[in-house]
This record gives sequence, structure tokens and C-alpha cells, in this order.
Amino acid sequence: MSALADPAPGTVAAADVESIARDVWDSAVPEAPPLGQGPLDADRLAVGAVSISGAWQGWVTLEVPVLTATRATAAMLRLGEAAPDPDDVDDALGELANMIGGNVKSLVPAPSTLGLPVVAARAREVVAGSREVCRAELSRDGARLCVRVWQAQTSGDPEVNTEGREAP
Amino acid sequence: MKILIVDDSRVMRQIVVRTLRQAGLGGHEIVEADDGRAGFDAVVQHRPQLVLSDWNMPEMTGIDMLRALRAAGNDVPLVFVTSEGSPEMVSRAEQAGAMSVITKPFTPESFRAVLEPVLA
Repeated sequence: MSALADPAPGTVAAADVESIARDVWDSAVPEAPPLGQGPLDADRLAVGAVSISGAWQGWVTLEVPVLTATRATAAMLRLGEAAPDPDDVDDALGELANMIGGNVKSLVPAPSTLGLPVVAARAREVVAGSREVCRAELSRDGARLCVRVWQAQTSGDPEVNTEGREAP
Repeated sequence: MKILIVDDSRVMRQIVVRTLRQAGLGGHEIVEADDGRAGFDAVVQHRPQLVLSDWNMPEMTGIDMLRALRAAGNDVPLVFVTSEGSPEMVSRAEQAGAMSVITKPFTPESFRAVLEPVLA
């Protein structure tokens, strides 16, 4: 497990994000099978994101290899060896991002509101124009994930999806 | 007892049902709805004895659903199951008439602590 990037003053500490990500993953995905080692960017990444809007504006993204997302979903649904429905993988990824984002929200200036989770093929698509201020990478029983906190560069709302999840 | 679970995530609804069972609080009739609007309609239609609701959902949020229920004179016990458990959110929930707030990710123990008095 490692924390990367220094937090911007007054925002979020990488160690806190790392702790949140670890707690959420261990609680929500308690029986995820080992997934092997390797750099995070070696696989195609699945990305879940949730916006924070208000006194502090930005995004929290969760990036995991597609295989990790699939196996985590199977573990969350107690499917055993059966493959989860792709819609459930998106759903679970969004929920994990939502849980992490909800906890990160408590670290940024209030008042603020959490948006609905979205999933996308690349975090850059939904955080375009934002600045990465914090990153935490975890390797847990072979599962790899990266949580990043992005601060909006403008005073306007981040690109909040109010219609539900997007397809990757 | 009939329990209504309101969450826009199908995965989370399944996890809530399983956690009820793991907490020793299974065996109840479960009804599901996928947003606050559908949740309000389900309360009217199914008359559950308990509602477990997400907060942040499309169409109608959980807090707006709760306010609409209370405004309509419905006092069904409602517990929020949400990723946000800040004191401010808990205060807003209680002021709107919620029974309690369970923060995601949750455990069978946290379910039991809040729900056992209602379901046992």
C-alpha cells in the first residue's frame, strides 16, 4: 500500500484517503479473491467517480483493473465462480466510489453535497479540467486500486451527472 | 414484518438484504424500490412497517421522500443507509423524522444495533 502526491493545503491528506479506501474495500469486499500482482496500469481500468459540490468542488475517482472490478462484484454478491452481469459490475463500482466519496466529503470544507456515482472508461473523461490533489494506491490481497481526489479548477459546479450512472 | 428497501443500486439492495440475514434479522417480507419517487409509491402501496433508504438517488432523494411521507401524514419508521454519516446529515435526517442513520459500508453489527429494537 502506498500514498502518492502531497495534498493541497486545506484539502485532503493522502493518508486519510488511503485509510478511507482501505476501510471501505475491506468492509464492502470482504472476500475478494487474490488477483495477482503487477502495475495498476497494466490492465484496462474501470473507473467509478462521484462529485462533491459546494464549499469545495471536485471529484473522487476509484480506478481498478476491470478484472478486479469484476471479481469484487462477484464477492459483494456472493456469486462464487459465476461471472456477474456487466451492469452489476458498473453498479458495484459506482457504489464503492460513492462510499469512498461520501467519506472523503467529510474531509473537505462544508457545506457540500455528493453527486450520483458515474462509471466511465477513463477518469479523465469525467474529471477533465480538474486538478489531481491527492492520490492513494492500495494493494490488498493482490487486488489493486487507486483513489484520486480532484479539485475543480473553476468556481462552477463539477460536471455532475443527475441522471444516474453512465456506461463506460 | 414487511420491510421496504429503497436504493438506486441493485447490488446495494442485495447487500442490505443479506446483511439483515447475517444480523439475525432475516425472515421478513422484503419490498424494493430504486429511487425516492418509487419508494414513496411503494410505501403507499405496500404499507411496510420499516423503510431502509439510501439518501442520494435520482428522481427523488431519500430525504425528500421522507419529507413527502411525513407531509402526507405517513409516520412509517425510516432508517437511512447512506455513505454520508456526518453530524450535519444525521441532524437533517432526524429533523425530517428519520429514526436513525446507518453509514455505508455497514456491518451486521451496525444493523443489529439500530434495527434489532424494531425488528426483534
